[in-house]
Amino acid sequence: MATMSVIRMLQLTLFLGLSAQADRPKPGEVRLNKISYAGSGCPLGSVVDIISDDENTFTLLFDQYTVEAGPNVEVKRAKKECRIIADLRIPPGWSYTVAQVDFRGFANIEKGAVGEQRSNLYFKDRGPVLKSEFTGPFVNDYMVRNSVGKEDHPWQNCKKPLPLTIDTAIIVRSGGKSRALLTVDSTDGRLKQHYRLRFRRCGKQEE
Amino acid sequence: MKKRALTWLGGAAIAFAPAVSSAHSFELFPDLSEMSAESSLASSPDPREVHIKSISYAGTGCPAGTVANVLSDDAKAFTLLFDSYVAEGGPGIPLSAGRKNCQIAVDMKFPQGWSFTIFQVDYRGYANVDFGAVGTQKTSYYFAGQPKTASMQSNFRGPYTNDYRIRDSLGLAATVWSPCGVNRALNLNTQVRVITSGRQQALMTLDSVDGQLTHQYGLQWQRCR
Repeated sequence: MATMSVIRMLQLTLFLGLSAQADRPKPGEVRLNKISYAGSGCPLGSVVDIISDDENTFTLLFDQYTVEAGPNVEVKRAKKECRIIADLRIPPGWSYTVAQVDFRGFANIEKGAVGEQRSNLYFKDRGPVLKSEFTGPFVNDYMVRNSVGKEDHPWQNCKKPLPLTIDTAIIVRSGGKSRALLTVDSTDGRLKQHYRLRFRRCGKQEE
Repeated sequence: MKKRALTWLGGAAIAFAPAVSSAHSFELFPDLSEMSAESSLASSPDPREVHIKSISYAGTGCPAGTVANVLSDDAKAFTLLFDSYVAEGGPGIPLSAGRKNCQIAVDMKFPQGWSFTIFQVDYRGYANVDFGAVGTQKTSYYFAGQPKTASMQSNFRGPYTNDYRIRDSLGLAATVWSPCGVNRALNLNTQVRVITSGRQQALMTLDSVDGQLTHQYGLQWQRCR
C-alpha cells in the first residue's frame, strides 16, 4: 500500500488591535510577574509555562495531567489537581480581576463512566467552583472557558494585593467494566487590560 | 522553571546551554525586535518579517528529555524529533496508552502593519491499524488566550500498515497597529490516538514535526510611535 500523504489547509486570523479606553492603566503597566504551580497533576518538571512578551497572557502545558479509571487501574489515578498561582504586577491605585481562563484537553469516556473538570478562580475567598461534566460515551477534544461573571469578579483588594489563585482538578468515575480517560493538555489565561482583566480605581468608597 | 536554551550568537554559531532537568524549550537571543533593519548579519532573522522567537512544548507524547529540536538560523523553520510519541490500543492496554499529545507553542514575532504568513507544518509517522480499528492524527491550532480553535484531522482505517506524511498549511493574517511588533504564541496541540474494540490492535506514532514560515510582504506600514 502506498504511503499515506495528506495535505490539509486552513486559515487563522490574528487580530491584535488595542482599543483606546480611558480610565485604566496604560498598556504595558499591568504585567504577569510569575506563574507558580503545584499538585499531583503538575509535579515539578512536568509543566512548561509561557508568558507572552506583553505579559498579558500565559499558557501552561502539561506532561502528566491525566486521570484514568477502569478495571485494573489503580484508584489513585482517578483524580488529580493542580493549583496555579499567577503573581501580577499592577500600578499603584488600581485593582483588577481576571474573567477568563481556557482549559483544553481530551476525554475518552465509555458508556457508564463519567468525567469532570473543575476550576475555581479567586484572590482570597474562594469563588464558585465551575464544573464541566463528560458523560460516556464521549470521545473528543474539549475546550472549556471558565469565565467569572460580572457580579462575581473577585476584585483584588487595593491595600493588600494578593496573587490570583486558580485551583483546577480532573476526576473520572467508572462502574463495572467501563473505562474513562480525561486529560488537561493546556491552560491559557488572559488579562483584561486588553481583553478580560477588569480595572477600577481605588476610591474613597473602599476601605 | 529552568529551560534548555538554544543560544544564537550573532548568527554565526549555535550552542546548547548545559542540559537542565525539565527541558522543553529553546529560545533565541538577543531580542530581535531591537535589531536595526540595516543589520549586516546575513543569516540573522529579518526583524521586518515574521519569525520565530522561541518554541516550547509539553505533553504525554513529549515528556521532558524525549525530544530533540532544531531551529533554523533565519528563525523561520524548526524541527522536533520524538523518542516516545506512540499511541497503542488492544486487549489489556489502558486507555491512557491510546492517546498521546504534544502541544507546541510557537512564539512568533509579527512585524507591525499588515502581513500575511503561510505556516506549513509536516507531520511524519507510522501507522499499524488492524481491520475495524481506527487511528487518528490531529492538530488543533489556536492563538494563546483566544477561544477560537481550528482543527485538522486525518483518520487511518484498518487494515493499514505504512508510514504517513501529513502537511498542514495555515494562512496567518496579522493586523497589528500598536504596539509595534506584537508577539502572540501560536499553539499547535498535536495528537495521535487509536480506537480499538475486542481483539483489535492499533499503533500510531508521530516521529517528527517540521514547521516553516513564509512571509508575504506587507501592503501597508505604519510608523512606530
